[in-house]
Amino acid sequence: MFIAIDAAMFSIICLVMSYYRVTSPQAFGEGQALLSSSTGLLNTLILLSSSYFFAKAVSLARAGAIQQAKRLFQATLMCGVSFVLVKCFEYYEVIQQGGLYSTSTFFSYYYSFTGLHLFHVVLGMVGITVCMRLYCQDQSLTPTGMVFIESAGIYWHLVDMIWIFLFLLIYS
Amino acid sequence: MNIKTIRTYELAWISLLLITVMAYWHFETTSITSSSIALAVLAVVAGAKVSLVAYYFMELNHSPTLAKVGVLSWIAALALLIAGMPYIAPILFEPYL
Repeated sequence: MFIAIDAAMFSIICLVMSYYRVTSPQAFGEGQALLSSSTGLLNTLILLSSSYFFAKAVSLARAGAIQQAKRLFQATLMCGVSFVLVKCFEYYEVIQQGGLYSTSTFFSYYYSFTGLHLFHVVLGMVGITVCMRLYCQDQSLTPTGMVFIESAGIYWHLVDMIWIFLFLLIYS
Repeated sequence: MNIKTIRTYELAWISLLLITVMAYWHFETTSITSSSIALAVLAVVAGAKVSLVAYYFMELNHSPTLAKVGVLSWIAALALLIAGMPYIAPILFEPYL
């Protein structure tokens, strides 16, 4: 239910951004010019890789290879940390160039939407840490542990899917 | 452990990385005359990428048909709405502006 509400909320956000992009092309172009599309690309590649690591970790956990799964959870977590660092660097660069929240509508949307997504990434990282700390300590997983890991995986993949649309609408 | 499943993950991952880099490189190196066509093409590419993530990483391929249809319909609807926004926006919102 939480994931469905999140998906609906970000769908509305994507439609708002695409509407703004279409109806205010000049203001959108001016704002977008201050962003680095290569930084957005890097973050996309990081999140896609993290989704791969998580999916493989879930598959290994299900097969009982807990230690291998734990290593892949760590790789996913490292991707999450990298995403946050790249995003902070990007915010710093944009602010240095004068792109503040109050500068234009574009930057209000940019900080609100990417900031909300960043919050979801951090929430997902907390979920991954719980997966490792609580459920990957023993040699076998409890049914509750497996359900938690699968739910965290679905959430993480949703965060990745949302980023793919945000990357299209903000950076491309 | 199912080796076939593991290889499927790898294929999906490599495909996603390649599609992302190729789409980025294509739109960085070519001049697109119509921004609405560019948005439509990119929205379809993004929809395909999101479908790959949902189908293979979210394991929609092993889910019940109802879940499969629901999630893929949501992705298709969102991608199509974004792609069609240059045409939809004037019709839907112009009377209120």
